[in-house]
Amino acid sequence: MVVEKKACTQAILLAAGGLSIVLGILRGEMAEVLAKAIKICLECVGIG
Amino acid sequence: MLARFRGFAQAGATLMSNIHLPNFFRGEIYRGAGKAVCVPGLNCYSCPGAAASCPIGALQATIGSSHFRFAYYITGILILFGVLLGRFICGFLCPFGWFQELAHKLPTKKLSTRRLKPLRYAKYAVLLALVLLLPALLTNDLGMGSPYFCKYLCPQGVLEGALPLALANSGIRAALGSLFSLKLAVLLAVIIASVVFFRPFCKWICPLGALYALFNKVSLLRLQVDPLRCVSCGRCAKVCKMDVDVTTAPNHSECIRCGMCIGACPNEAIRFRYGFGAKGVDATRQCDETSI
Amino acid sequence: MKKLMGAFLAMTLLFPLAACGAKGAAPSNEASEDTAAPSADGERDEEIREKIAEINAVLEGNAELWNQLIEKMDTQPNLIYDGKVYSQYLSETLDANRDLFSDKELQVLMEDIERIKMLEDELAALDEGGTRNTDARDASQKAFPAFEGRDLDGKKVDSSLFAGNAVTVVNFWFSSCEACVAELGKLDELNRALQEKGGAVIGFNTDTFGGDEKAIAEAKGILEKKSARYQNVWIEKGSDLADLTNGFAGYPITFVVDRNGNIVGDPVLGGIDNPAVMELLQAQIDTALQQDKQS
Repeated sequence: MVVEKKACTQAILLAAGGLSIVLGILRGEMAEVLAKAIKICLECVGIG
Repeated sequence: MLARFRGFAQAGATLMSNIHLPNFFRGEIYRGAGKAVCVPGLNCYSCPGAAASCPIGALQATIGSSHFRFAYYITGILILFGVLLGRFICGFLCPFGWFQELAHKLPTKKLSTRRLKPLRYAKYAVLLALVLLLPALLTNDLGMGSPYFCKYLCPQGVLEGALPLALANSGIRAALGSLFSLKLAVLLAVIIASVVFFRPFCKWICPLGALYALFNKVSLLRLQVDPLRCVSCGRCAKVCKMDVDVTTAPNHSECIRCGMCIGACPNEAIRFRYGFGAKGVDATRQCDETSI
Repeated sequence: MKKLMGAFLAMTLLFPLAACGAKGAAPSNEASEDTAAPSADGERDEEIREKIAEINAVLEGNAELWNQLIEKMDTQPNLIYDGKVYSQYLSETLDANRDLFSDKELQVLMEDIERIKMLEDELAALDEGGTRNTDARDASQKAFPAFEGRDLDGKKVDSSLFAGNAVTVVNFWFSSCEACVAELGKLDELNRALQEKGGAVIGFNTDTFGGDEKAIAEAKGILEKKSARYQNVWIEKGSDLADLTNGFAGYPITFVVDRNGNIVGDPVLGGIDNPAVMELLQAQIDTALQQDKQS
């Protein structure tokens, strides 16, 4: 991979990652992650 | 030098990922806002001490939810982790990776995984099937999907979640059944394998490792081989426990950035680099083209 | 002086034992796991009373000497809940006032202290046995926190509902918990079976706590989809019951509560669609129903 192309790819990925996070938060995904992480569904972690 | 530091980093990362130590005695989990984000390594949220969520657990929780099919939030976090650090996370920040290395320190005969390279692809299958597809596709009548990897396979969840909880809580003990037996068997198998092989779970099973592996080639943290200093002695490839030849592939998807090759090189030809662009592979290839 | 001594002793030794004694006298009507039957506890209480009488007798045996010492003691005794400390207290006070007595008298008093210490050790052993049993009985007599809230249709509900049921099965769940949702059908079945026996199932969806309308709507949707028609209740966050749920090790978790609002046995973790879990729960339900018949 050519140097400049790679740097470009990296920058785009970082931006995409950031955008994806924001989009996810707006959709309510962060709230869902939190909600599921503070109450253990026993079977979901293999206790059962 | 780096090797000694790495052990401390791994211990520190394990502690930081599971900072809520009193909870182990209470048999309870941390319920604060920290759990809205994830730690970079494989660390179950059901661990009493866990300070944040597990990226793989959170990924499945989102995909398996009746409200979502795709996880933008966690994918975004994983992309950032992958590009910023790549499999450096595996080598320095993952508690389960450290656990396997500790098991490997037991003085037994060690087996090489060099001939078992095809098994490396299995972790991508685990990622695709158990983490991404099944929770989205195999749902109940309400559109809820199980976190198949967490539920049926992940040994880390048993080691730091189920076992400490069962020790501290009689209700949990009473609830242990066939599902737990299955997962305990997986954990025991991984432990035994880790004694004999180096990081077998990381190589063959871990879906998180699989994800970060995909980013190794575009990660800002990388290894670089100086072609002017490399004398092709082959010591680096020999010492590498992930079966990578750093001189031909310094950013190979299996490289966990442990730095053992750096320590083995007689000429200090290998270095860590951090930043945009890549000088690792290209420089080496140029050297081959202009070989004397 | 004798009265002061007696009161002193009674206060330090009888305080914890009176507590045990009272509970020991209560009829134990659970099919409890602990082996102590009410009559055995009555015997134990008798032994405790005997031991205390023996300690008193020791002091009375050398009353003149002891009175001299007790006069020197602080009239503000440190409140001691552990009988053992009394002999320690006596020996410390004796040490501080050695000059009051001749060598021979000192020896007599120290022998008395030794005897008292032995009796205290025996008392402690009895006490421990009693306390352990009491704790087991206490645990099974633990009251379910009083609560007031509304069901998902807005109707007011509070813990007075327990009094109207021979037994109440209280299930806690949340909407994104797959195992919880999976057992809803079975819980409805259980509810119908219990209603024939004068009991009921009620559910608490922790997402709905605080009255979050979105959460309530989602919970209702799930219950309807699973044909779970029994009552589900939400309460305010920060209430006693809500705080209790923060300590739950995992979900789903189910309690069996008797007519008096007391929890029967230990809460059961796991979905009752698993036969092993259902077995555990059924045992507690049967216990509660039996108790209810007897009272």
